[in-house]
Amino acid sequence: MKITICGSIAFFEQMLAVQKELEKNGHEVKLPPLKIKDENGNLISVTEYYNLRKMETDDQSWIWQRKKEAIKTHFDKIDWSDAILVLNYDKKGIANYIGGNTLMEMGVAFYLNKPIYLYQPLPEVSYKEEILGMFPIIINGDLTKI
Amino acid sequence: MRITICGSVAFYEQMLKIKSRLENLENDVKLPPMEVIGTEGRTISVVEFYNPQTPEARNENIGALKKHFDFDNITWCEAILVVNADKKDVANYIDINTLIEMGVAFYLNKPIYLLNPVPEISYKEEILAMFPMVVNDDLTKI
Repeated sequence: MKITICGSIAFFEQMLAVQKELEKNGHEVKLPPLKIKDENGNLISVTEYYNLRKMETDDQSWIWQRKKEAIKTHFDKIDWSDAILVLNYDKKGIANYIGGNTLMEMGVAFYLNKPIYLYQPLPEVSYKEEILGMFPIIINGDLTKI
Repeated sequence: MRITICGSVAFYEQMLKIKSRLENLENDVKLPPMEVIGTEGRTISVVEFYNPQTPEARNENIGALKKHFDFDNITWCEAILVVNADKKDVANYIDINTLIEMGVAFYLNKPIYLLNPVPEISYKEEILAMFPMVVNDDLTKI
Protein backbone atom coordinates (compact mmCIF):
# COMPACT_ATOMS: atom_id res chain seq x y z
CA MET A 1 0.00 0.00 0.00
CA LYS A 2 1.11 3.59 -0.60
CA ILE A 3 1.17 5.41 2.73
CA THR A 4 1.87 9.05 3.54
CA ILE A 5 2.91 9.79 7.10
CA CYS A 6 1.50 12.94 8.69
CA GLY A 7 2.20 14.64 12.00
CA SER A 8 4.13 17.40 13.67
CA ILE A 9 7.68 18.00 12.46
CA ALA A 10 8.63 17.64 16.12
CA PHE A 11 8.10 13.88 15.55
CA PHE A 12 10.48 13.64 12.59
CA GLU A 13 12.84 11.11 14.18
CA GLN A 14 9.90 8.82 14.97
CA MET A 15 8.59 9.26 11.42
CA LEU A 16 11.85 7.89 10.04
CA ALA A 17 11.64 4.83 12.30
CA VAL A 18 8.00 4.17 11.37
CA GLN A 19 8.84 4.61 7.68
CA LYS A 20 11.51 1.91 7.96
CA GLU A 21 9.09 -0.46 9.71
CA LEU A 22 6.33 0.11 7.15
CA GLU A 23 8.75 -0.47 4.28
CA LYS A 24 9.81 -3.71 5.93
CA ASN A 25 6.12 -4.69 5.81
CA GLY A 26 6.10 -4.08 2.05
CA HIS A 27 4.57 -0.58 1.92
CA GLU A 28 5.69 2.42 -0.07
CA VAL A 29 6.01 5.42 2.24
CA LYS A 30 6.28 9.19 1.86
CA LEU A 31 7.23 11.67 4.58
CA PRO A 32 7.33 15.45 4.97
CA PRO A 33 10.55 16.93 3.45
CA LEU A 34 13.92 16.54 5.20
CA LYS A 35 15.16 19.93 3.97
CA ILE A 36 13.57 23.31 3.38
CA LYS A 37 15.03 26.33 1.52
CA ASP A 38 15.93 29.26 3.73
CA GLU A 39 15.50 32.96 2.92
CA ASN A 40 18.42 32.84 0.46
CA GLY A 41 17.46 29.57 -1.20
CA ASN A 42 19.99 27.46 0.75
CA LEU A 43 18.77 24.13 2.05
CA ILE A 44 18.44 23.84 5.82
CA SER A 45 17.20 20.93 7.89
CA VAL A 46 13.50 20.82 8.57
CA THR A 47 14.23 21.00 12.30
CA GLU A 48 16.20 24.22 11.85
CA TYR A 49 13.37 25.65 9.75
CA TYR A 50 10.85 24.61 12.41
CA ASN A 51 12.85 26.44 15.10
CA LEU A 52 13.06 29.59 12.93
CA ARG A 53 9.33 29.43 12.30
CA LYS A 54 8.51 29.18 15.98
CA MET A 55 10.49 32.38 16.62
CA GLU A 56 9.01 34.31 13.67
CA THR A 57 6.87 37.32 14.57
CA ASP A 58 6.56 38.97 11.16
CA ASP A 59 3.36 37.97 9.33
CA GLN A 60 5.03 38.93 6.01
CA SER A 61 8.15 36.79 6.46
CA TRP A 62 9.59 34.41 3.85
CA ILE A 63 8.87 31.70 6.44
CA TRP A 64 5.19 31.54 5.43
CA GLN A 65 5.98 31.09 1.74
CA ARG A 66 8.05 28.01 2.66
CA LYS A 67 5.29 26.69 4.86
CA LYS A 68 2.85 27.21 2.00
CA GLU A 69 5.11 25.16 -0.28
CA ALA A 70 5.50 22.47 2.39
CA ILE A 71 1.71 22.20 2.86
CA LYS A 72 1.13 21.98 -0.91
CA THR A 73 3.83 19.34 -1.35
CA HIS A 74 2.42 17.24 1.46
CA PHE A 75 -1.11 17.52 0.06
CA ASP A 76 0.30 16.13 -3.20
CA LYS A 77 1.72 13.18 -1.24
CA ILE A 78 -1.70 12.57 0.32
CA ASP A 79 -3.17 12.61 -3.16
CA TRP A 80 -0.56 9.98 -4.18
CA SER A 81 -1.23 7.69 -1.22
CA ASP A 82 -3.80 4.97 -0.63
CA ALA A 83 -4.02 5.94 3.05
CA ILE A 84 -2.43 8.29 5.57
CA LEU A 85 -0.91 7.41 8.91
CA VAL A 86 -0.99 10.14 11.55
CA LEU A 87 1.77 9.92 14.15
CA ASN A 88 0.20 11.46 17.22
CA TYR A 89 2.71 11.28 20.02
CA ASP A 90 2.53 13.41 23.16
CA LYS A 91 3.31 17.11 22.71
CA LYS A 92 2.65 20.37 24.55
CA GLY A 93 1.53 18.35 27.57
CA ILE A 94 -1.25 16.70 25.51
CA ALA A 95 -1.31 12.92 25.09
CA ASN A 96 -1.63 11.77 21.46
CA TYR A 97 -1.39 15.32 20.13
CA ILE A 98 -2.78 16.33 16.74
CA GLY A 99 -2.18 19.95 15.72
CA GLY A 100 -3.80 22.30 13.22
CA ASN A 101 -1.54 21.39 10.30
CA THR A 102 -2.10 17.67 10.72
CA LEU A 103 -5.82 18.23 11.08
CA MET A 104 -5.82 20.01 7.71
CA GLU A 105 -3.99 17.05 6.19
CA MET A 106 -6.56 14.69 7.67
CA GLY A 107 -9.25 16.93 6.18
CA VAL A 108 -7.75 16.60 2.70
CA ALA A 109 -7.40 12.82 3.08
CA PHE A 110 -11.04 12.69 4.22
CA TYR A 111 -12.10 14.86 1.27
CA LEU A 112 -10.29 12.41 -1.04
CA ASN A 113 -11.93 9.41 0.69
CA LYS A 114 -8.59 7.97 1.84
CA PRO A 115 -8.49 5.90 5.05
CA ILE A 116 -6.94 7.74 7.99
CA TYR A 117 -4.92 5.67 10.48
CA LEU A 118 -3.99 7.06 13.89
CA TYR A 119 -0.89 5.62 15.52
CA GLN A 120 -2.23 6.24 19.03
CA PRO A 121 -5.70 6.90 20.50
CA LEU A 122 -7.59 10.16 20.04
CA PRO A 123 -6.33 13.19 21.93
CA GLU A 124 -8.57 15.03 24.40
CA VAL A 125 -8.65 18.35 22.55
CA SER A 126 -11.38 20.89 21.87
CA TYR A 127 -11.68 19.63 18.29
CA LYS A 128 -11.99 15.93 19.15
CA GLU A 129 -15.40 15.86 17.45
CA GLU A 130 -13.91 16.93 14.13
CA ILE A 131 -11.38 14.10 14.42
CA LEU A 132 -14.13 11.59 15.30
CA GLY A 133 -16.14 12.84 12.32
CA MET A 134 -13.36 11.68 10.02
CA PHE A 135 -13.63 8.13 11.44
CA PRO A 136 -9.91 7.43 11.88
CA ILE A 137 -8.74 3.86 12.44
CA ILE A 138 -6.68 3.61 15.63
CA ILE A 139 -3.85 1.09 15.43
CA ASN A 140 -2.37 1.56 18.94
CA GLY A 141 1.20 1.39 17.63
CA ASP A 142 0.64 -1.90 15.75
CA LEU A 143 1.75 -1.21 12.17
CA THR A 144 0.64 -4.66 11.01
CA LYS A 145 -2.97 -3.37 11.33
CA ILE A 146 -2.42 -1.28 8.19
CA MET B 1 -18.21 34.80 -9.04
CA ARG B 2 -19.30 31.66 -7.21
CA ILE B 3 -18.48 32.17 -3.54
CA THR B 4 -18.92 29.81 -0.59
CA ILE B 5 -19.09 31.40 2.82
CA CYS B 6 -17.36 29.48 5.63
CA GLY B 7 -17.12 30.16 9.34
CA SER B 8 -18.37 29.22 12.76
CA VAL B 9 -22.11 28.60 12.97
CA ALA B 10 -22.13 31.21 15.75
CA PHE B 11 -21.78 33.81 12.97
CA TYR B 12 -24.78 32.58 10.98
CA GLU B 13 -26.78 35.82 11.26
CA GLN B 14 -23.79 37.77 9.97
CA MET B 15 -23.28 35.25 7.16
CA LEU B 16 -26.85 35.85 5.95
CA LYS B 17 -26.15 39.59 5.73
CA ILE B 18 -22.84 39.02 3.93
CA LYS B 19 -24.60 36.69 1.49
CA SER B 20 -27.10 39.40 0.66
CA ARG B 21 -24.35 42.01 0.17
CA LEU B 22 -22.39 39.65 -2.09
CA GLU B 23 -25.49 38.89 -4.15
CA ASN B 24 -26.04 42.62 -4.62
CA LEU B 25 -22.56 42.62 -6.16
CA GLU B 26 -23.77 39.91 -8.58
CA ASN B 27 -22.07 36.92 -6.98
CA ASP B 28 -23.60 33.45 -6.58
CA VAL B 29 -23.32 32.55 -2.91
CA LYS B 30 -23.66 29.40 -0.81
CA LEU B 31 -23.77 29.17 2.98
CA PRO B 32 -23.11 26.31 5.39
CA PRO B 33 -26.25 24.18 5.82
CA MET B 34 -28.77 25.21 8.48
CA GLU B 35 -29.53 21.54 9.06
CA VAL B 36 -27.58 18.30 8.99
CA ILE B 37 -28.78 14.72 8.68
CA GLY B 38 -27.99 12.47 11.65
CA THR B 39 -26.98 8.81 11.51
CA GLU B 40 -30.63 7.74 12.03
CA GLY B 41 -31.72 9.92 9.12
CA ARG B 42 -33.18 12.51 11.47
CA THR B 43 -32.74 16.16 10.53
CA ILE B 44 -30.89 18.17 13.20
CA SER B 45 -30.70 21.96 13.23
CA VAL B 46 -27.15 23.29 13.43
CA VAL B 47 -28.01 24.91 16.75
CA GLU B 48 -29.00 21.54 18.23
CA PHE B 49 -26.04 19.98 16.50
CA TYR B 50 -23.63 22.18 18.45
CA ASN B 51 -25.55 21.99 21.72
CA PRO B 52 -26.52 18.32 22.15
CA GLN B 53 -28.77 17.75 25.16
CA THR B 54 -28.08 14.03 25.66
CA PRO B 55 -25.21 11.55 25.12
CA GLU B 56 -27.34 9.89 22.39
CA ALA B 57 -27.70 13.21 20.60
CA ARG B 58 -23.97 13.74 20.90
CA ASN B 59 -23.28 10.37 19.28
CA GLU B 60 -25.69 11.17 16.51
CA ASN B 61 -23.92 14.48 15.97
CA ILE B 62 -20.60 12.74 15.58
CA GLY B 63 -22.12 10.60 12.83
CA ALA B 64 -23.57 13.69 11.23
CA LEU B 65 -20.22 15.45 11.25
CA LYS B 66 -19.22 13.34 8.30
CA LYS B 67 -21.78 15.20 6.24
CA HIS B 68 -21.23 18.48 8.01
CA PHE B 69 -17.92 19.44 6.42
CA ASP B 70 -18.95 21.79 3.68
CA PHE B 71 -16.84 20.13 1.00
CA ASP B 72 -19.51 20.05 -1.72
CA ASN B 73 -19.93 23.81 -1.56
CA ILE B 74 -16.16 24.26 -1.61
CA THR B 75 -15.87 22.09 -4.72
CA TRP B 76 -18.65 24.15 -6.38
CA CYS B 77 -17.24 27.62 -5.71
CA GLU B 78 -14.50 29.72 -7.31
CA ALA B 79 -13.43 31.20 -3.98
CA ILE B 80 -14.31 30.97 -0.31
CA LEU B 81 -14.98 33.84 2.06
CA VAL B 82 -14.33 33.10 5.72
CA VAL B 83 -16.51 35.10 8.09
CA ASN B 84 -14.28 35.58 11.12
CA ALA B 85 -15.86 37.70 13.82
CA ASP B 86 -15.11 37.91 17.55
CA LYS B 87 -15.85 34.80 19.62
CA LYS B 88 -14.58 33.20 22.83
CA ASP B 89 -12.60 36.38 23.63
CA VAL B 90 -10.65 35.95 20.38
CA ALA B 91 -10.84 38.74 17.81
CA ASN B 92 -11.56 37.52 14.27
CA TYR B 93 -12.01 33.94 15.41
CA ILE B 94 -11.69 31.03 13.00
CA ASP B 95 -12.81 27.67 14.36
CA ILE B 96 -11.07 24.39 13.62
CA ASN B 97 -13.87 23.19 11.37
CA THR B 98 -13.33 26.25 9.20
CA LEU B 99 -9.57 25.63 9.21
CA ILE B 100 -10.24 22.19 7.73
CA GLU B 101 -12.48 23.72 5.05
CA MET B 102 -9.82 26.32 4.28
CA GLY B 103 -7.33 23.47 3.89
CA VAL B 104 -9.52 21.77 1.29
CA ALA B 105 -10.03 25.09 -0.56
CA PHE B 106 -6.25 25.54 -0.52
CA TYR B 107 -5.75 21.99 -1.81
CA LEU B 108 -8.16 22.82 -4.67
CA ASN B 109 -6.25 26.05 -5.43
CA LYS B 110 -9.27 28.24 -4.66
CA PRO B 111 -8.59 31.76 -3.40
CA ILE B 112 -9.35 32.23 0.30
CA TYR B 113 -10.73 35.58 1.47
CA LEU B 114 -10.97 36.58 5.13
CA LEU B 115 -13.58 39.11 6.15
CA ASN B 116 -11.35 40.41 8.96
CA PRO B 117 -7.61 40.14 9.82
CA VAL B 118 -5.89 36.90 10.83
CA PRO B 119 -6.69 35.95 14.46
CA GLU B 120 -4.11 35.41 17.19
CA ILE B 121 -4.78 31.72 17.62
CA SER B 122 -2.76 28.51 18.04
CA TYR B 123 -3.08 27.66 14.33
CA LYS B 124 -2.25 31.17 13.05
CA GLU B 125 0.81 29.72 11.28
CA GLU B 126 -1.36 27.46 9.14
CA ILE B 127 -3.67 30.35 8.26
CA LEU B 128 -0.77 32.62 7.26
CA ALA B 129 0.71 29.87 5.07
CA MET B 130 -2.48 29.68 3.01
CA PHE B 131 -2.03 33.38 2.15
CA PRO B 132 -5.63 34.43 2.66
CA MET B 133 -6.64 37.83 1.30
CA VAL B 134 -8.01 40.03 4.06
CA VAL B 135 -10.82 42.25 2.74
CA ASN B 136 -11.53 44.16 5.99
CA ASP B 137 -15.27 44.02 5.37
CA ASP B 138 -14.92 45.55 1.88
CA LEU B 139 -16.68 42.96 -0.29
CA THR B 140 -15.85 44.82 -3.51
CA LYS B 141 -12.28 43.50 -3.02
CA ILE B 142 -13.46 40.00 -3.94
